[in-house]
Amino acid sequence: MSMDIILAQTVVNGLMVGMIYVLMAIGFTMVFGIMRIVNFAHGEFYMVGAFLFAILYGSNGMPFAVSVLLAIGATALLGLMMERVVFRRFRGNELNGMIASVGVALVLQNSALLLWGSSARTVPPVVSGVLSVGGIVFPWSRLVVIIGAIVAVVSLNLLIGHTRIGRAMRAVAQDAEIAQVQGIRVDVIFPAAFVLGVSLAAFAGVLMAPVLSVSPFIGLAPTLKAFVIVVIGGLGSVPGAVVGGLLIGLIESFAGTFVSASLSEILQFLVVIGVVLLRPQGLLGRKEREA
Amino acid sequence: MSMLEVDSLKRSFGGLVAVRNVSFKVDEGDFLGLIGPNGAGKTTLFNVISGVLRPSAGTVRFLDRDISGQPANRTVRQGLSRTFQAATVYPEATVIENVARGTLGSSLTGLWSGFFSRKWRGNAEEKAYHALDLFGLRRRVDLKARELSYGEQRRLGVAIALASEPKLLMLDEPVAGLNPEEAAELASVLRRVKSERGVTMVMVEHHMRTVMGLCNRVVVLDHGTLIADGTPADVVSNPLVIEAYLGKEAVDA
Amino acid sequence: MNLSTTKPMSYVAVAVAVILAVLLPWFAPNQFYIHLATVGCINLMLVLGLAIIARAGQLSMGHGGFALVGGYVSALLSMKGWPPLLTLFVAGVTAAVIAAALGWIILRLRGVYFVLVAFAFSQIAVLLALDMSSITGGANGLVGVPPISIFGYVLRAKPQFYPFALACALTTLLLTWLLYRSPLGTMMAATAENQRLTESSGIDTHRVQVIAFTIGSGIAGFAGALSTHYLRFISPDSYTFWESVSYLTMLVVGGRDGVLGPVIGVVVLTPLPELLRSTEGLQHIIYGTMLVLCLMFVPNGLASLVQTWRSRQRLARTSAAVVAEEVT
Repeated sequence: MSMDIILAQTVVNGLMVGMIYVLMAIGFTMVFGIMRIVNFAHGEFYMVGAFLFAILYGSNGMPFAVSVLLAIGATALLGLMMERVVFRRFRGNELNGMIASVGVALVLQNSALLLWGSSARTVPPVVSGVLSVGGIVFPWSRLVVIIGAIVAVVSLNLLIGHTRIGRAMRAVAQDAEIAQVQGIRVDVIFPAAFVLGVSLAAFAGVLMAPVLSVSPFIGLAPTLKAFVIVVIGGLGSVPGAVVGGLLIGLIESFAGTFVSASLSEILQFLVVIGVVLLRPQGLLGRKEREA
Repeated sequence: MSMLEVDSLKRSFGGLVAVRNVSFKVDEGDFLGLIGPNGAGKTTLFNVISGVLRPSAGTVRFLDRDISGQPANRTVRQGLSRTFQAATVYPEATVIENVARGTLGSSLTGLWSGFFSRKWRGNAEEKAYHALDLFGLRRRVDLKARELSYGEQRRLGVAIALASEPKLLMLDEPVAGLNPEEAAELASVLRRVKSERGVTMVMVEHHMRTVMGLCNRVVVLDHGTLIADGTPADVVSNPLVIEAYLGKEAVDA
Repeated sequence: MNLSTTKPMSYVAVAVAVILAVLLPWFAPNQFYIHLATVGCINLMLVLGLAIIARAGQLSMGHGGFALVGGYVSALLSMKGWPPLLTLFVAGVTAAVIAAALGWIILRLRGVYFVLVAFAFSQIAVLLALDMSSITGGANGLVGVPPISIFGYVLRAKPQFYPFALACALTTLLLTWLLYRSPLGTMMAATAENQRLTESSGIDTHRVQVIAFTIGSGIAGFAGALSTHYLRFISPDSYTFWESVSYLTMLVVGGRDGVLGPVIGVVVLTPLPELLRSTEGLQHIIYGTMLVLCLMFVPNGLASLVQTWRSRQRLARTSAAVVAEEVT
């Protein structure tokens, strides 16, 4: 294969992986932006979505669309429950809320372990084969994920930019107190934002289930990736999550292809440190106003 | 040589210029009042001088040293302290602990000393007791700061600032929210602190009676610009100053 | 909780507890309890390290990473022939140096960013341990780590290790207690409670937080190394996210304020994993639930309950004294 092709393939792979990461990251950054909660359990909702989809579609053979909707819906409901029971109490308290989310992550992960066992499940692929364009290979299964991710990002953008509830969420993200004074029902917005974030994570899980195998332990990696991307892109910034996700995807692809897997991880970490040193609020983040 | 020299100071936030070309001096022994209508930029000016914000242009010199843009904690160690309007105390610590903590930055003890002996705490608390006597908080020493009344908390805030033994103390609206008796009481404490400890003071204040009663010089800010600088009597009769206050009220009415 | 006016736990109670701990090997029914106590000592050191970092207002989700680094450093050096007693300290210092560098960079950020990057560090540490298999043994880890020998006396069997572990834990406890009472410790508490006010008292809070992070993570490195020489084994699984969470849980459940909290947390939570080894999932669920419940209902930990009980006692005694005075 010529160098050009390898290079191009690497870029394409990087963008594909990157879009998956973007999908995982936007739910997380949204929840932080609006509720100021660092949700360590974010990846566990991804795992739950993947598991439910695997059980409904993979083991029980239910129709594809129904499985997707049920998996996401059930996970969203779980998220709503968590918000009511746990996170609501930590509204003013960022630190304790974060620690609580760690506890929630633990409970979710191990409940899945007890319910469904530790062995990995595979889900039959939704589509198969590859799309070949000029020597560059796009596996259809990955393409489906990319398309799903793009649809999600665009929809989210539309929601936040052009609907009333989106406007309300933006207002709350800017300043929850003032938003409340202006008549925005913060008590409705917070759970709505959390459910939205959780649904995005579940959607990512559903998309990825056929690509990777599903087990109770698949939640931690997406959580970590989301953290890294969001620090780079800027906490609370959806465009930042897109930029960060693609950047990380590209680094991973290039380092993985041309050097080694461990170097890829170190490199990503160094990029985080670099961004933090040079632009602490993230590439597209808002500079925090000084008191 | 003046104690504090502010020269052509400017501070903007994005497109908004909050402080525009402000210059004034503070001499040792002064009690300077910084007044002006709401939104005039007083707090921003305050924050730039004390090191919470960096200047966009211009310099601040303290004791003949350029302190523009340096971190606030260094400025405090050089002898310039300030109080705040909100979050003025350590709520969960006792009153005596609050003031004792105020002595840590500037005093004797380096970061690594005081490990094996308790002497530093005895010294710190002794200083703290003196300060608390001055502020009438002696009988409150073992209460947690959050259990104090609002007025007492404001007084405690000033005591903490004084614990770092500053040469210049900047007070951010010290009597805001206090009732007339509390305000008068705090004013007399400030007068005593000035005369007994020789601390030069700069005060941002809205409360005119306090300003007139305490300050020997007044500086007026309007829309970020310095419009008057003189004795209280001069300033009060200055037409520009009157317009700044009344003009704004007329617009808002 | 204000440390300057709270009377320390009565010295008698402390002395009794220490003596009991020392005499444990004599009245323990079998070796399992000694093993549990040893694990408890190592846990205590790790939780104290976390507590020191928390005292300055920061939360380190990367604690396990420093323990892992310390463990591998000590294992690798001692397997090259260095005396383990020395490599323990080298491990601690290595962890401290990394923490100082990392902390200096990320502690100038909002607290949230610090947590995320510290967490990322711990995960990177695990990934590196897995990937650099030529050095670290990969997923299999390192076996046959040399035992510690003190002046020729080799701590090979588990009961032999306990006194050493206890000594290390008690020393750490003492040093932490001294730190908390020192000016530096007070600066840390002040920084956590009101950072802006502490800055305006002339204290460089960034430096204070970096120092706290360095000390706390250095202790974690030392403790990780200690554990490695006890188990004579280390692998990427030794300090995962779960371990970081368990130390955090012990700290939160026990209490973040003084030195009593970590002790309580460790005593209450250490036996759990060992007793529930068969159903690992259940054990984690219990930890997670305890963490959340504690945060909701007893956010200052069990030690704060002790504190409230003692101050109620004091109040009762004082009112009784006042009444007595008025009567006479």
